[in-house]
Amino acid sequence: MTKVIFDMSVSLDGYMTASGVRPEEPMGDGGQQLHTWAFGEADERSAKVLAEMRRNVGAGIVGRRTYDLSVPWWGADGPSGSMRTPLFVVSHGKPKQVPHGGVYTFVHSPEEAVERARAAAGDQDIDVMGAQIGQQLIRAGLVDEIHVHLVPVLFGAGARLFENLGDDHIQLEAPSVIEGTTATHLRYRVAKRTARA
Amino acid sequence: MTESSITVGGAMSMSLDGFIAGVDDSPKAPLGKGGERLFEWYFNGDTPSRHYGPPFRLSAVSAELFDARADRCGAVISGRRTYDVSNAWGGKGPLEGVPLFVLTHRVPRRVPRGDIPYTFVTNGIERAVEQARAAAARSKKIVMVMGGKAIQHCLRAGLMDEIEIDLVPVLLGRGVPLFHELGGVRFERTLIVDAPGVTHLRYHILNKGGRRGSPRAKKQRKESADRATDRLRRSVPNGEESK
Repeated sequence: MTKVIFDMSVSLDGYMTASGVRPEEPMGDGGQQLHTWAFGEADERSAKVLAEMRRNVGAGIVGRRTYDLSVPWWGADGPSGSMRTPLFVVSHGKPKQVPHGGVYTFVHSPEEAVERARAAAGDQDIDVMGAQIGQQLIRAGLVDEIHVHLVPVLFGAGARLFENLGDDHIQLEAPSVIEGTTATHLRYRVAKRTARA
Repeated sequence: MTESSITVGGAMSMSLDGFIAGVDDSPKAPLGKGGERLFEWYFNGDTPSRHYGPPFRLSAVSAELFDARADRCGAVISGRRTYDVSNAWGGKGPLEGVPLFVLTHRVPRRVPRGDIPYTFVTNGIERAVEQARAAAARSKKIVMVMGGKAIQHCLRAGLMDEIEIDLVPVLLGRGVPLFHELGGVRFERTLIVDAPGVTHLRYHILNKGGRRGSPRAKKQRKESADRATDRLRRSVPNGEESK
């Protein structure tokens, strides 16, 4: 069964990027600290978390902003590199230049992205990348699981991972907890909302 | 054991999106709208607390951690709001037998009688920590800071050594954040306990004060606190009235 997974690294104070995000520093100043658990010095457990996620993902969904900031790094292959996992970019229009032979498909709405990604993913999962698109999908009730890699640092400013979620609390089920050396990997299932009478 | 080696810690229940209370929090509704969700783990089991008694009914795992936390505590620092909201704990203090230091701009007119020494510290967090450390050193235990604002003050002043977060699986969406505009602080996780309805995390602070804890800023704060010490009374004994 395909699951829609919002998977993000986040600081202890809830930021997914530090302040000062710009094309040269897509994570903001010092924001790369959020990803050291995954790159370079990944401990065994963290490496396993990462490998499992990569293995299970059959399609990705990303917002236009994240796409624009990241495409110079991603190139034609997208965030999964040589695995060339299809990526659906929610965007009002198609950018003028797209890498030749790229894995990217441009769609108009988060709902369309989920529908198309589902078809592309087969029985694998869908990885949602980027805070805004993740928030939109959570609000629309389209996210099945939230995976948080909690990194013990305070940024004090930046882009908040969870924002604009509406007024209703979103209940999560008890997480599975994996203790990385630096990051704590928490996988939550989003509780199905009970219908209101 | 020297007083400066006494650990200063804090503990808070926090939603996954970083809130310690819901929106529209007030002295009458200190948890804000829906904030009680953050404390369900106090009541989601059948194990009573050795320290706090009813109505606490925790899971066995959380009860052990909760009581161990209290066992470690040799002095409590509380913010004034927490003190008021708790009705001064009826004079009994937040934890039996543990001296209380209340951060406040004004010493309250009436303080309920009780066995626990209450000290009102009006000249800043540094002095509160200093006094609480001295008190905790007598029992060779740690200082616990209660309340979001007091914890923020402590972190900002570079006085916090560790923080415990009881991470609750809910997204409140809006509310009162635990951490506020404080950057550059790094932690090391020293404890993790996966309990029903809550994940208990303990972090040791690696660089106290973060970016704002420059030596110069610290010196200025200390000088201004020292001046205040001369002007203001340090404390009133419990049970007395003061103007």
